Amino acid sequence: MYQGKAFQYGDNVDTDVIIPARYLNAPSAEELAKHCMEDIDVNFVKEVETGDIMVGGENFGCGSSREHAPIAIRASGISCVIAASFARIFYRNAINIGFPILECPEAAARIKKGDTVTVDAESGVITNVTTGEVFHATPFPAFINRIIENGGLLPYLVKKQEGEAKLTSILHLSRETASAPKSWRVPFVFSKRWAKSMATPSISPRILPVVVPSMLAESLCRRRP
Amino acid sequence: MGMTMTQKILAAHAGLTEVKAGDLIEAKLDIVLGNDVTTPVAVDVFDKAGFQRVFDKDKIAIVLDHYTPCKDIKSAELCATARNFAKRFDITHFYDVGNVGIEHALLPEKGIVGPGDMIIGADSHTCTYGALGAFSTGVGSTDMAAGMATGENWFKVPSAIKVTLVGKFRPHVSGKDVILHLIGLIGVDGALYKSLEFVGEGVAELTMDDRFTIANMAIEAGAKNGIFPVDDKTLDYVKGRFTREIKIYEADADAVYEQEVVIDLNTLKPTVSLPHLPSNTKTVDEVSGLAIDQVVIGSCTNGRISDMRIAAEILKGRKVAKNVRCIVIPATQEVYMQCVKEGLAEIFIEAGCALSTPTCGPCLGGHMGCMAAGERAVATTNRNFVGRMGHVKSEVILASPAVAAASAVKGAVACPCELEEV
Repeated sequence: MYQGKAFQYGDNVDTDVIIPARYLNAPSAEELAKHCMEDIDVNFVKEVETGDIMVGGENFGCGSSREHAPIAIRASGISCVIAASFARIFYRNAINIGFPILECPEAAARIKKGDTVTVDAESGVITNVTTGEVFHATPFPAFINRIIENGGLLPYLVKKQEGEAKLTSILHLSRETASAPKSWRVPFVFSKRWAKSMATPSISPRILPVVVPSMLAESLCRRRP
Repeated sequence: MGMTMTQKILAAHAGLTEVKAGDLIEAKLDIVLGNDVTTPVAVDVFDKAGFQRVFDKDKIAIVLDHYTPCKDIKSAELCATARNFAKRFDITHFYDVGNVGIEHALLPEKGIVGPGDMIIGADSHTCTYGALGAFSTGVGSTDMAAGMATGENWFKVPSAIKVTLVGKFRPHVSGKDVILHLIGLIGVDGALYKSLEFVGEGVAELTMDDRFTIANMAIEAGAKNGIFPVDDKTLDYVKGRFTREIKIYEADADAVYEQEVVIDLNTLKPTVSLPHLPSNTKTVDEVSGLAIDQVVIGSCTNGRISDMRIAAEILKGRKVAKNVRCIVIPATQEVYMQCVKEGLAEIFIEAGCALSTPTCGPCLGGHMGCMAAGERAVATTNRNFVGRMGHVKSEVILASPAVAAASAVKGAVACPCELEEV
């Protein structure tokens, strides 16, 4: 559960305003965070507090593929981003680094700057505490929550390696991970046949936790009318 | 049910006979790409995950093009990280200062990518290679790391918008005008998550450089990829460059498209995108005379030899207007050398242009042409977001090389047809 005050921005918030290219050579996430959003909101870095929530309109994160964008937002203290829709690479990147984002056009339209908002990423319930309004975003499949809990795609993959032939054949687990308790090592059973079967809308969420997330992150993106 | 061209390439690389929009697939990658901005992040992720080797050193391309030649110590450190990684794994396609080019001009030129390939790159303009009849899409650094380690990645099969091109260009109109016009029509998220598949008799009218420009900016409409059919021009281009097996995929006659757009090349006028979105398009005649401070001719969108020739033809015997800086950046060493051999370099310098070694520099406001508050540029680049080329109060107008060169001479947004004879 995340709670904080909302920073509201409009449609097409691009990666150049999230973190301008002139700072892309910054050596750390903390350094990036100092310049987050500065080209459209110079006060953002002064006002943001840990746990706060960013809200955007359509096509949030459009433009460059820079993973620095979700990295900078997260390092600024923002706990999650709510938008009407996300640009595809930003969406993939956010999930891949384990940063929660929620697609909810209604919430994106109704939440105002400074409103206190709570987000339950697991259920997708967004509450505007200031106004009492409650919204429902498409909830993350359980596996995406696991990615986020594990800190991103690769840490997640590392913990899931055993049982997945293709990846394990070339991945040498780090000492720390290799010595992880057996119970962490959920067998990786995704196959092409499953991939086909999962394309149907009737897929049970129960089988999702074994799937690598980036593709499914994409699948969560709302189709535009 | 029929498949689009994109869907056929995805199916083939996933070892499937059929896919449809919405399917989730695992596909093998032919090339994984990164640059000096995105590779260091990927290296960090790769190392932290404990990977000890790359899937295939011949199928990874690392191109140091964004801040090079390094603009400062921080950039030098990023390049050092990428360089050391390339050295550690003996990466075959590693390009550094002196033989580097802007990645999306360089990879096709070197024959690293070709028809039928499946490519991911940690740079949003990776979609450029669709011009060659390849599936090619931009991803982030973590995806790059996963791709380098495993040689595979996961994709959701996109639906498609069919863009049918008919007719022939009128003078001073080129591929840039086609893509700006299209983005103006459908918007910056008009193709979100979809393929843009270009078809029709008008495709034959386009040079390969036109096609690269068009596919390059597919991302500016939100598209996952942009793709052209393979024809004689494609095969001529890859001949002598691309040494792997050429695989030609064609859309089925009954392929399903979500939307169809027809563009009549005859009706296109030189087009620009005003600040601050690529979709904010006007024809040049609507905004002619708008004062400018800078012109940039180059980038992964328009830094190829045809672009240089078009610009030089206009600048020949003319001078860049007083109080305007015109920066010309051939996209690769090969294009640069060609500019020297053909006398284009001399034309640019005589006209008063700054002629630079290949770099992405000014396109992303990195270096080599950042702007001050209140300044405005006409650029052949691909984005005109707030602060893209420097100060947050500077402005970028996107245009073709012809319009950019004419604007440099006029000192204001101009169509080449407005210039006096020389």
